[in-house]
Amino acid sequence: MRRRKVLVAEDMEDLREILALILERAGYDSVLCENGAVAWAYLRNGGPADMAIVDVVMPEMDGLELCQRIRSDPALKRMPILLLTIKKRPEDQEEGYDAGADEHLPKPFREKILVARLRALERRLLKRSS
Amino acid sequence: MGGAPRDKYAVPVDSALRLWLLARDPDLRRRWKRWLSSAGWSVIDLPQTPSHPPPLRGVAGPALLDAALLEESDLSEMRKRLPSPLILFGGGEQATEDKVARFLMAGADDFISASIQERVLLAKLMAYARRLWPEAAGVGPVRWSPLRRIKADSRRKLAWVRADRGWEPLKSLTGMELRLLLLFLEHAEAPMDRAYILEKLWGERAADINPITLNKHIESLRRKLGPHGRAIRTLYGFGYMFLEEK
Repeated sequence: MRRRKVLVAEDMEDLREILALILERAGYDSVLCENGAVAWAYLRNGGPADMAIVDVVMPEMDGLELCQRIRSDPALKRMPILLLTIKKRPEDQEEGYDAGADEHLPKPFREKILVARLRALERRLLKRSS
Repeated sequence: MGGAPRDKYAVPVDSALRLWLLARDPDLRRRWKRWLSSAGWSVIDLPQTPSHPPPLRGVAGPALLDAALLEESDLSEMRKRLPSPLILFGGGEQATEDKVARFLMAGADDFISASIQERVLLAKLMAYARRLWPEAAGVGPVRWSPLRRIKADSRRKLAWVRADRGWEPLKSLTGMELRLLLLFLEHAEAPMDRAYILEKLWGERAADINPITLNKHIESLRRKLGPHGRAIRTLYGFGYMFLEEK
């Protein structure tokens, strides 16, 4: 079975690499982008991705705008999106859902929680639609 | 925070959306039923013998299940009987990271805190509805202004502006004003000539429309948008452009 590819939009290089390692260990491929604008350019140019892990606070284009753009694009709108955020206020969570995110994961997070959330998202949205 | 969450995240009164609720704490059950019912969800109580819920088919909606009443091994049986996303909730010992991860890996679709706030719960359920049951939920594509100060839902025919304390609904927009707003949001930061706007709003009747009519709709929309109305810029001799000040 083809490995799912996860797009990672995260401006901290160390965290990008950690996420890549976690995803590799969990059986996912990944494509790493240093901000929302790079991620959006990748997707708009037809770069493959099955799911997205998106940091909220990023330069150039933040995670919320990236979510909105993905949700507004007919070819991309079904992509499951997990938001990573240091913002933990209820209104921040609400804003993330409004922008089109499917899941929130507050930073810092443990590997097992990230993987469990990702698998649940995959089961709920990708396997259900297929 | 501006805008009651029950209005903002309301599902249509006549929607087929159901939500199963299994909760041990009667106060929580009452509170959540009140929130959910006020936002248009039809809430069905599940009996507290979680491994044998009645089969409920042919309806759409998630199941909110108290993790305190479940073992991980119950989830596969629940999944057979409930054709729904299984959203577990809990607090304290039921909500440790290890426990949450085990529930998710055992088949739960989601895990939320039992102390979740009303607006977050409703926003989350609307996120589910948008993805899984958009027709029943009556939700459509939401268009945002580039700086995320204005948003509008074409299917629910609702629009909001960002205020000091959150989102404020624009309840007084007419149908034409909403369509005009959606057009501006769709073409944000791009000049639109008058002929194009007239054609998009009135179609074949565009040639018969008095040009002053468009002016009046735009002025009315600007006024109702309050300070955000300044984003609608007049391009004299050409048309209009939606451009927010940074």
